[in-house]
Amino acid sequence: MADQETLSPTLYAVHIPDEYTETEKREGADWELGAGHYEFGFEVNGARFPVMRLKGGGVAKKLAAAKQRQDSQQQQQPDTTSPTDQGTTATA
Amino acid sequence: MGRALILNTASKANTTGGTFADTLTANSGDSLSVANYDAPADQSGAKVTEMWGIDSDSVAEIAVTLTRQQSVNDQTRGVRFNIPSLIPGGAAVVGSHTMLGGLTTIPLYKSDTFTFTVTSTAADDVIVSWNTLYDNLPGVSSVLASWDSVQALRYTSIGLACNAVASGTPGLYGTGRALNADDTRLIANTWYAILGITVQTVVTTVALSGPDWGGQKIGLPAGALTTDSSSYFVDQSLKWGVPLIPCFNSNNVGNINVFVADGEASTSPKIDFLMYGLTGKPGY
Repeated sequence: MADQETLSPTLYAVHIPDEYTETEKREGADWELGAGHYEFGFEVNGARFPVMRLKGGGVAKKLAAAKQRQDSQQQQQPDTTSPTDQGTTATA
Repeated sequence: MGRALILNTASKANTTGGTFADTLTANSGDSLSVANYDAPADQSGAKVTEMWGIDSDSVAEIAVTLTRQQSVNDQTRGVRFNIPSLIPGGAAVVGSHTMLGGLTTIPLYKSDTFTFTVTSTAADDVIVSWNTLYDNLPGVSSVLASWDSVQALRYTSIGLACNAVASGTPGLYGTGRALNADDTRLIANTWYAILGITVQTVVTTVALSGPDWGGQKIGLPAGALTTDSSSYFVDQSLKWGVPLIPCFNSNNVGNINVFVADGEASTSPKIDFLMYGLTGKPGY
């Protein structure tokens, strides 16, 4: 029985924009471009193995919602810094 | 006889969430009302032949109600449809699921109005499209052909590209794109039959409107489980036993608009329309 080769993949997630191909540009493409995709997968020695493509609009919506939540939480945190922590000591 | 096959879409972006807590509204140019077909009011002159939809982010349940008990059992929940939105693939992947499939229909009566309520999770986007077949709709005389007729008149074949994009607001139609905006190879003054479509990215709904269909929308799903749509209208015609293959004259092509609606914002499916060029107008 042959030895099993173990791969050491890393995860990747990249945005693949919706864009015109060179041929389409030469032919005068002018249609509205969409939100593209986010591709999620594994990378082994530079070789990418896509597992799933999510629509760009869907990912953008979730990222925006997450950012809004984070911003909201940061605003709600009490200010724990004392006055003496702020600024620099005045010098004569 | 003014047979008509009409597509309508209803949607809601950013739902409140909860048990049947949200109500869908008709997309621009579409309607929740049954059109005033030419038959007595107590006769069903129309029926929903296909219905599909998606919740962008979560599983959902949609209740379809009408006022006539001959259409649906009651006005509380009517016909409930589950949508396994995350299968196959997960959120922002699936495009659409079939709600009313096979040979099932919902009979419709004039002056009746659909209500779609949905159980969803907060901040979801929900969209439903449905095809209604009218036996005789005054003012509309759609050029719809049978498969036999299309085969008998077949002169050539073409796949025509049109790159319409969904709206930046999930569920709504994007800007209509002329059928000849991206591909101008149609032969002038020639009749073409639209058999179906292929896409690169799944979407909930692809629609067309044009003068040969009385200005009404026709359309089809292109979700993960229905993306083999290259013979959709042929299959519809054979399935329902009436001519349902939309045809148009290429002189009208600049006035035929393609619309895309999806559960996600700005989806760009890249559509190729599979068509036969015909030697003449079907039925003449």
